[in-house]
Amino acid sequence: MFEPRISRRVRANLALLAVFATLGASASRAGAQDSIASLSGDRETAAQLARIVNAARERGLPVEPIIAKAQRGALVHAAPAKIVAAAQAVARRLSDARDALAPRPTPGDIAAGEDALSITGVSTDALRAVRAVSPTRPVAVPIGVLAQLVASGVPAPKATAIVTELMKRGATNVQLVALGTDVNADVVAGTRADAALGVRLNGLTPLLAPAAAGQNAVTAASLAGGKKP
Amino acid sequence: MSDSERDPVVRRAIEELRRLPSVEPDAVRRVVVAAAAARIAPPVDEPVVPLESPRRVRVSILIGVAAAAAFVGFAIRGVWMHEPGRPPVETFASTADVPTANAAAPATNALRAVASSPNDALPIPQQFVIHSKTAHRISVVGDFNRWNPASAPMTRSPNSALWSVTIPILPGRHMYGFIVDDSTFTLDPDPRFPKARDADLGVEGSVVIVGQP
Repeated sequence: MFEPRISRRVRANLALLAVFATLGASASRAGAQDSIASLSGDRETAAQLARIVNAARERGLPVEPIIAKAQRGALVHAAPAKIVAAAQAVARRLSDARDALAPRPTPGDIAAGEDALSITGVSTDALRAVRAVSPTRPVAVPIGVLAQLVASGVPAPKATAIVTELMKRGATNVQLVALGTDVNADVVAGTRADAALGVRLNGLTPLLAPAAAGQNAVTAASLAGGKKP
Repeated sequence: MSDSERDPVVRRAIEELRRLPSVEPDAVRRVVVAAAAARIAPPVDEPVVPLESPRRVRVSILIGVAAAAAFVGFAIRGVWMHEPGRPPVETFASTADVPTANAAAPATNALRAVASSPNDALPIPQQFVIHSKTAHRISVVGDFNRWNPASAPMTRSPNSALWSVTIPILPGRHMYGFIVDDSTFTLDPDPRFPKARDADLGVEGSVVIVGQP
């Protein structure tokens, strides 16, 4: 179990952040600067973080994930350089996610895309594939399920193919979430992710609309090789 | 006397009703208050488990200034910062901004939308539960509340060791954990919630995927 001790000083900073936090997301640049400044006693680090947040905001990106990452870094006593690097990485992924989820991603979509891209194996191609299936509706949930499947050990191309196929067949967000949760529970219990996914899919697919003409039913077997989206 | 009449709540209500003057306009309120008090008060023969140790409230000038800055910031934001060319989604909704008291409410205007889109972009009440007999304070932290321990304090259920809080969270995958007694970060021990590593910071977190019913 990871058990960082939270020092009195950090706690004081966190208390201050509670006040500044609401200010930072919506207020002016000065407000954001203050919000970031409360994260760290290191003035240079604070300035670097503020620059990252302001640059992201100017580009129309949601800055909440950047601030949250910096705050988490402070919570776990990460080194200032690591916090800055993490914030930069989030900003880059937010930009990539927004481009991949064009033309009208919600902030939630962009944040979900950023989170997915942080998982090894998930690419912007996967995000584009999800967006192509659902061009107008928010896709934070399918992307989140895809990300968790990959994190559980399902190869990214296979996870992408399955999630997009389930979306095409009308799977609800609740069904998608249940699939991801069940697969993960099986993995925790010692089952291989692929095998768990196959079993769980066999339970889900009969509930969905039939596959379109020319398409095979979604099963682990039909997707055994996976395919790049 | 029937079983129900032995119930202290019922007995209290009956006594109140017997004393009820026919024209007493406040009677209903008194009955309700009496019944509620009887329900809430713990039995005298059971040990009372303090939910929290007394909090020491220290208000420094710095925090006062911070609160004032926040107030002024919001005021300025409301008056000055509206930019007609920018969509309202520019201000990414923070669940920390949404009153927890509304958490159990359905997705109405009490829950702030982040986009003019279908309901699956609205925050959804999500309950977090953890078991601890020894903790004095527990709060849930995650990317949905900027990992802020003050944002979502949990309450201990009377006569049990279950702590819980329900907060509205945007649909999607979220990492979180618990801060116990202001000092210890712990993952969710519930095996239904997976663990994942934050690649940027190299630390683990629990994962919840929130989806619109």
